[in-house]
Amino acid sequence: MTLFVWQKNVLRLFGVSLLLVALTPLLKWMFLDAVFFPVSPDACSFVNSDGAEESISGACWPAVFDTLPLLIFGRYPADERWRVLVALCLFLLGSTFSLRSRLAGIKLAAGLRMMTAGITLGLCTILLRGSESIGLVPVETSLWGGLMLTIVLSVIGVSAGSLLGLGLAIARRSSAPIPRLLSTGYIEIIRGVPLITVLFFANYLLPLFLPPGQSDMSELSRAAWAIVFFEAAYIAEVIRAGLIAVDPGQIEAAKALGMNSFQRGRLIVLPQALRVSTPALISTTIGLVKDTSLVAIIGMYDLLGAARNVPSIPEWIGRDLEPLLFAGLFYVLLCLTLDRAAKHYELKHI
Amino acid sequence: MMTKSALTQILLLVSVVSLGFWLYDNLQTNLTTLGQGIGFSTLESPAGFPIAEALPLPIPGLIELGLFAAIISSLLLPSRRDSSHESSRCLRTLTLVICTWMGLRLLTGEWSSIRFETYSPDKSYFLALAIGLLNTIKVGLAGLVLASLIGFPLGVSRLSTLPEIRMIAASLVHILRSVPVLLQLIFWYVVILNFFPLVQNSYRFFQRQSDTLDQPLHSIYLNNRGLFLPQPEFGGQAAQWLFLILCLLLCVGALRYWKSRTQFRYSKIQFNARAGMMSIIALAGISTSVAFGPLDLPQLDYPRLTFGGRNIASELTLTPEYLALVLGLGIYTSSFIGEIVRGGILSVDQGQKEAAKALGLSGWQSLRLVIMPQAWRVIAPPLTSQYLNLVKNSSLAVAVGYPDLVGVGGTILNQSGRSLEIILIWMAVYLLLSLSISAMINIMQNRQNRREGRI
Repeated sequence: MTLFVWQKNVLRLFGVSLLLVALTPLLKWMFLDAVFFPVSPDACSFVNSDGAEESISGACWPAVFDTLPLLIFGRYPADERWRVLVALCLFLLGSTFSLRSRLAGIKLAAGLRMMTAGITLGLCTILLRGSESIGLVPVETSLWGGLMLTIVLSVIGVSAGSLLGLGLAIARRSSAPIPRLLSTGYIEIIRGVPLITVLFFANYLLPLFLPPGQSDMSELSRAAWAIVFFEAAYIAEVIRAGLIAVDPGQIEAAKALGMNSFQRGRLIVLPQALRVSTPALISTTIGLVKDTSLVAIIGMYDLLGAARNVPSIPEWIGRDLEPLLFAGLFYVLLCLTLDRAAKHYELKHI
Repeated sequence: MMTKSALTQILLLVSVVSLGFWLYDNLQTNLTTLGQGIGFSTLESPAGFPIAEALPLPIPGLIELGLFAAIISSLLLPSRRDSSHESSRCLRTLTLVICTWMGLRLLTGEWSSIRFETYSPDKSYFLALAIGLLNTIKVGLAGLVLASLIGFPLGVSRLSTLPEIRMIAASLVHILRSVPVLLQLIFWYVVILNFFPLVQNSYRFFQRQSDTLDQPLHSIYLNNRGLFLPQPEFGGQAAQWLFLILCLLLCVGALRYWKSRTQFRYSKIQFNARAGMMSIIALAGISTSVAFGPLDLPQLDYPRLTFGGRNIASELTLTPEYLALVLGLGIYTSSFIGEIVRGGILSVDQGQKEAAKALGLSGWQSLRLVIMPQAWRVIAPPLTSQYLNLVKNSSLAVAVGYPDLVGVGGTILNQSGRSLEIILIWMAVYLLLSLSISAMINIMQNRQNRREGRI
């Protein structure tokens, strides 16, 4: 753009002053007028000149510090919280092992990696859920909450949703009419409705579809089904784009070499298709993490639900913005980390 | 990659269908145990709950529906230059004739086939759901406008040559895209409820004359109870004003179309049939409005302060729930629209920008005349899908207490226990909306591709 220097400076001033005008009240409330310590309910109110009790005009961060265990673990029993941390470490270890193609110079086989992923997820589930037979106190899923529940729902959503989505994408691309029509119908219907509708469906109707006498599903499993069904359609579209992007010449060469469709898919088509669609898959995962916050509407206490719940605690009545900002910060950190992982992958492989 | 054998397919179909029947059987048994059946007839019973924001629902008569269908079909038909079919020309002319006739009916005051249905707790559940849908449309339209107004400048700012502007816009987009939309909605709701001033200390705009000298009066009040605006009172002439405005827009459209077609022909003025017909209709409309009686200016119904200035009432109120939804959804979607606009502008060939610069066009001119028309082709499909996303995200209104379709449906669900019917209605409405908009995008894309020779 051909601007003179003074015009550029005017624009800069305008932009920065707009930012300051918008941010100054927020930052003043968050940091300058705010109270950080001590962590007790009477830190956030004082006795004013009339002798009445008045609350401070800034943020009351002790509300967040005091309820931090609630925001992170939900109502998980305090003595068993170490299991959540151990499960998280196990999950990080397992994903490091199974998502890399070589570890310390040793090439890892695909089957080994899949087994590791499965075993890790299974161990984490057992750790979190607990059972009498291995000496861990059972913790019902209705007690799970907070950031832990967000991560659990995201992991279930991504893993099961990717499997279902992969199947749907392959079915949609098949030349046989029946799998194609069924999967196209499913994908288009799910993509046309909002997630909250699917959540309500899973919450109220899904138990009714089970045989009479067995129709109680825990809240967590209902929400998990809804998220898996919903995200599978979007993941299917992303993987389908990747499948289309595979060069037809590759498929013809594979056919010429005498491979049947399973071998073709496993050795030639899927590796290339998934490599191409990985950045889009990661951004779908980011969307999934954000979508798990909607379970707050059907009454589950994930990170957002717990943050909405803090003002109902008698000691911290009226403190609704501080936990929301804290939850927002966590979501920003999670999503920006995934975003950077996507960019790193893109730089390395494309 | 699935085996093409017919036997496998038939097996798959049979298993899916039998699964479906088994599930339906379970559903029936469970519903019967609960004492319910499957049927929409219970939705005709009285609702019994109030809805906080309920505009009167306009129910069109047959003639209005026919008019609407004629307009839509004439938009979707191939344009006159593409097709030489007599049938499409006849339909277009018929549409224009119907429009003129409807306009004349309006002006003579015979707008009687539309009736307005006001909601009250003794009306049926169906009306409650229709009001919910109307509220969804209200939020959707306002959110779309706000999202586009903020999104386009945001996208262009991310490509600015000034690093400060670029950084501010980039961080804004990154943060807005990382926070869930539900959190943003609740954030704006909390901000409006807690941090906007009380009625006594409202932000006031547009001072006007007051009879009592102790308190100055204003036209617009903004406080934690919402945004209070003056309501224009048309005195029964609303339809005539609408018709006049439509005729003026038609005039403007005709003039722009004529100008764009004759711009490069300096030798003779080309009379273009479409522009000509539009302008004839428009002039006919304007002259009939002038002939059939003068239109009075609408009276403004100002907000009234009550209880010594501690409470306020107005006919046109934007409630905190509505404001929170529009702000939250608009700002959230604007970040996505900004990214789409940025992608579209980046997709234009670098040579175009250099050529525009070589021709001496300033940055703004080159953007408006050279880059945006080409970028528009890349921007339009993801833009419409973001608009659809906004309408789908408006279903989160239940979290801030706004009675949109999902909110009202949720109340009905809890009150009557009719989960299956309500959820089916939700899915049907949203699917109809999504699929019809996707179909329209497809038709317009095909028409655009044919027009550009890419078949």
